[in-house]
Amino acid sequence: MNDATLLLGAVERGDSPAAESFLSLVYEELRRLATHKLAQEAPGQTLQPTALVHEAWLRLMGNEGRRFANRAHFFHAAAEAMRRILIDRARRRRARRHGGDMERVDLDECNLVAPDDDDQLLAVNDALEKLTRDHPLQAQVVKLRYFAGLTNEETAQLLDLSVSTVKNHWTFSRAWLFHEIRGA
Amino acid sequence: MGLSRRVRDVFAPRVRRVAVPGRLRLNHSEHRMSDWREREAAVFAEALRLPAEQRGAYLEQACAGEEELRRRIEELLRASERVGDFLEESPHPRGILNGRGEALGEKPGDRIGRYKLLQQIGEGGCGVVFMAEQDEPVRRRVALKIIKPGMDTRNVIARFEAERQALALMDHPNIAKVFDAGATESGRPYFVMELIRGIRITDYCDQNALTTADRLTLFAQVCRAVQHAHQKGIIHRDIKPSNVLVTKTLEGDDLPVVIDFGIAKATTNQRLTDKTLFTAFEMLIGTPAYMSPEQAAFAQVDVDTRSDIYSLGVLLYELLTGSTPFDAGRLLEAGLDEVRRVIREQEPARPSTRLSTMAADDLTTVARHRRSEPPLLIRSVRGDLDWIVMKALEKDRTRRYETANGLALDVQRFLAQETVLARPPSRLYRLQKAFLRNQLLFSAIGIIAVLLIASLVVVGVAWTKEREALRKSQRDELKSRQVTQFLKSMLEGVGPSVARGRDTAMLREILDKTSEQLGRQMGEHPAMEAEMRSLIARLHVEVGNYEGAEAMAQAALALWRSTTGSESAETASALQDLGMALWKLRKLAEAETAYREALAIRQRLHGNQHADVAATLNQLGAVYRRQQRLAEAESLTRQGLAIRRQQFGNEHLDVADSLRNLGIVLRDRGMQAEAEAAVREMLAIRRRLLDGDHPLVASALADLAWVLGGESEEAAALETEAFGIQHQVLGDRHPEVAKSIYIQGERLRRRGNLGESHAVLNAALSIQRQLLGNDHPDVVATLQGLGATLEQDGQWSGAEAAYREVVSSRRRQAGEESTPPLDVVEGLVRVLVAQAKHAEAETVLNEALSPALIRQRSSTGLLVLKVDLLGRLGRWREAVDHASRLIEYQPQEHYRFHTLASLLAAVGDRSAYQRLCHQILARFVDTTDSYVAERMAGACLLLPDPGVDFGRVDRLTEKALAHDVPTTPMPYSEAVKALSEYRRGRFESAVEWATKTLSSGDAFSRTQAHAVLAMARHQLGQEDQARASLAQGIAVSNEIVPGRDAGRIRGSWVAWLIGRVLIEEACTRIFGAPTGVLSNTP
Repeated sequence: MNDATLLLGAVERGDSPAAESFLSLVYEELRRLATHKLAQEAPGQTLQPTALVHEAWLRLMGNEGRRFANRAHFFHAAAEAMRRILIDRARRRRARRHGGDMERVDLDECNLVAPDDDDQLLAVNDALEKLTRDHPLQAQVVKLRYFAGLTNEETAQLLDLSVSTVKNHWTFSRAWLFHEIRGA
Repeated sequence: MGLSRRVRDVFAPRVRRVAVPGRLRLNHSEHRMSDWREREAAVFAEALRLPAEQRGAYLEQACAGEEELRRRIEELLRASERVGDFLEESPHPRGILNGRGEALGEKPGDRIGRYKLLQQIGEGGCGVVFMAEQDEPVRRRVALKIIKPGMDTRNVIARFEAERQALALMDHPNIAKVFDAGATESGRPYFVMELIRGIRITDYCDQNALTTADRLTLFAQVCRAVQHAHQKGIIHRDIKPSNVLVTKTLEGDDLPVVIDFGIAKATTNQRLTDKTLFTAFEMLIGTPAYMSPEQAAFAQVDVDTRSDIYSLGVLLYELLTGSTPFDAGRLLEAGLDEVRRVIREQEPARPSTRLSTMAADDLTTVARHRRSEPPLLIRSVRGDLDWIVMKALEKDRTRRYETANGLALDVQRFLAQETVLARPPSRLYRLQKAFLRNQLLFSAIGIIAVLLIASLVVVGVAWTKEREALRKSQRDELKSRQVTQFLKSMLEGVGPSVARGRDTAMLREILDKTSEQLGRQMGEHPAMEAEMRSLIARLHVEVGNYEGAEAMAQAALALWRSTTGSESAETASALQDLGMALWKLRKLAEAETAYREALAIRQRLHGNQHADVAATLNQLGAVYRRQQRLAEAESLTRQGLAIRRQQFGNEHLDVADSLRNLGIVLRDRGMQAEAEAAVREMLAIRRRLLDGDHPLVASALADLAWVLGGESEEAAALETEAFGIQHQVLGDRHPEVAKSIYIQGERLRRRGNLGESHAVLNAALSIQRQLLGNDHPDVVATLQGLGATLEQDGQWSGAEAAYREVVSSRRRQAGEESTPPLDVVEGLVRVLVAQAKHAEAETVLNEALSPALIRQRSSTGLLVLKVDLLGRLGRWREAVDHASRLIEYQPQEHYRFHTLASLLAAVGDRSAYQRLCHQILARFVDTTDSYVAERMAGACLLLPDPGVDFGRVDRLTEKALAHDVPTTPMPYSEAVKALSEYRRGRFESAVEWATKTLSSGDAFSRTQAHAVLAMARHQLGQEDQARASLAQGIAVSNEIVPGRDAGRIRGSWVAWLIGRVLIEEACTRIFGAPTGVLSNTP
């Protein structure tokens, strides 16, 4: 058994420090995978969070993944890790865009990427915090669907809800967040 | 920091199952609130299920008496209508979101103005076509074409109106009338046309198996229709099969009808704003095969009737061979620029060649469609028809048929078996073309250098002779001027832009030698010497020797001032050269002075509308941009561009230069789309006017990559292409090449390839140091990048050295008092702390954190580092001030409150601590995050009297325990609960919770638990056990004290401090005095 399976076993037995270590493990693995993929990516190919998350599961768990009937812990961790990765990246880029010394334009030159997308991502994240306060379950649906790229069915399974409830929550959350970000 | 703590820092809020409202114990108002929230979701879901028209009634009933809820639901329903595909796509790990929602399209039954849509009859790249019914003034059926979203509707309609009169003049059986134009409710432009029930000409010909002769007859009719329009001053601009429909006359004859006249102009010839540029690309995607070279160049002002002739040529080509001259689909795979390049540059295969190179099956089909046999078909096309088509398809429009009629006539001559006007190109013409194409190859590059050296010898001899014999004669002045001219042309000929692939080192040497000669031999001819020095200054800039350029330009300037006076064109030109050298050296203030003087002289000499004035404006704009005077920079650049367009037209390298600067300034100002349009136009001009491997093309590619943003695929491809050209042309040792290498290094780091990034940045750095010295901005930028790469790679000492050099270089440049870039200082402090060089880290922080800076929010990063450093060193009292300020700067970060609470408790500042507890409750009492709740509750329980309502603290404590996985141990939350019970006097319960903590907690939470145990047992009179617990707590705490074993606890001094504060409290209660650890630390 590798570290990941040991840890996940402990998580499933309810070991809290293990949950944290496990989250950190997933975070590192996802970041490593994303970096690696981005470096190798063929032109035109896009890299989807859902693919990353599933690949991380396979890599971390290997054959022993099958032992774990309940993968919920993993996907919660993965959604959260993915969110952190994306937000950190967007924040870093935005900081570089705004701050810094303009004399050194060339450094900015290569760091500047799709500012609108970063802004939207950060706006979604901020709004999502508010949604978490008012509608925690709906917000969890958003995290799993949006950040981990899970399907309605997978999300339903993880949250132990019906697919139609997940769809309702998803519709509601999108309207809620859209309104929060863009206004009426 | 301990691992678990660290991870929790990173992942707040932590993994959790969502707490279902109602599972928590809620007070009354919370009940109401949570009830409201649940109803918000439920009513929304129900409303959405209902058809739109029933929603009002439903809401009326469901929200009776709850106006606010109803308003809210209505807001959300509106949002859900506009939500499009918002969030539907997960963010790409690069952070790319796709969020473009499009309005729903019109459908049959809808009314648009006075037209009722009947059925959709077509859909193309630019829009949807409906059959529609018009009621008044006449009742008739019309075709209504709605243009795709993405255009400036007002502009489109205004353009259409401008041409409406001319369109009305067209009256031809082969032209469909355009009646009207307007805007739909959703704001999209539409056009109303005569309804033609026909099919596209190519399909018609194939379906009816028209022979080549029949096709030609049909085609000649099309040409005449186009001719008619041309005579009325209307250019179609978008002739293609889908715009030439064939229908039947009443007599049953074939009738080709050209549709869409006037529409292409209204929809494509707009000023290139972001959206219209996009549209122009879209149209190119739709029908690039029919686009003339001048249209493909996007030089749209330049389109005239001959562009239509070209498109007719393509149509004829397709009618004859079944394919277009260029395979649009295949070209598009190579990208738009490739399409445009091919259309502009590549000679298409002749129709007969195309037929004979087809696959046998295809050829048989093509022949059958023409009631012919393959060999026969090829023979019928070869010769005259080839030449007719090729004449229409000439890249150079002056060589095409002058009129559509001319084309029609030649087709008819062919049909009548007369001699056609079109002829195969002469051998001489072909030779000329080949020569022009390869001119640069013919000018044997290597020979230039040899000739130059030889010429220097000749000139040297000439000068010597001059001095000896003919010094003062007019004739001699003339002669030496000729010699100078010769030398000048040789030198210019060797400019690296021309001598591609040559070693610039040799050129530098030649320049140095020439300079020496000048000083010795030209003393008697100051004007000539000045001219030569100016020239050499410019060449020095070209080979990247900017210091040499500056010296040479200064010398030239002095010579010109003394010979022609300060107000001369020559002096202005020398100032311009000097400005360029200074600009390249980034001596911005001096460059500005030189350019301003040059500008003033030029404006006095030539007025405001002069090419030289534009040149100076352009450069001065660039200087302003570097000085962050962006608005001024944009204004000057635009002035320069306007002058240049007026002076040179749109196809000129100087216009391209101005566009480049404009694009860069616009991007700096955040006007991304306009910036991209300007830079793309610049690249297009340079590509048209220069060879593909010209350095200016390379830099244009790099510019576009920069504007697009460094991480898109297109940008990466552009950069690679640019680098290839630069490297080939400029060699290794050139600042531009080094800069490109540096950019690659940055890219590698961003992709996580640290080892390669390190090597590449080192390579860039060593070239830059040699060429530019140690303080050049390029060097500093590369050093900073290197520092970042090494830091990420954990190579602390290397990162430290790089960061330190950046800081000291900045100091040398900007003065001792200046503040180096804060991100560099932060990096430096981080790597120093990582090496446990605490004293040095502190020195760096203190130097950077000036009182003025501390008052600004931008100091946040440094203040965080400072607080952390002081904490690690146990200097709580000093840390308090900074930590307090951080709460002002980052009031949303609960961690700042957590830190300050522990510091205030450690130094025993009770009143400040109580104020902080008030702030904490005000801000965080309703947090939904159990992790935040645990820390904030802990903060408020740290000292015996927080001065706040314990009941409200309880809410936080409860939240901390409302962990989503109920079976999971939560040592930190449990420790807080234990402390809370103790503070409320429930000592048994406190013992219970603290004991629970001990079973799963780490050293930090165990310290807290031991302290609470000791105090609770003391209160319960279990004195021995109390002392034992205290001893255990002290032992654990001592083991992990910061400073003693900093590596092991990884600096989580806040967690340690919290435990220690409680230990001290316990010790005081039991023994009457603290252990003294907190007051003894430095």
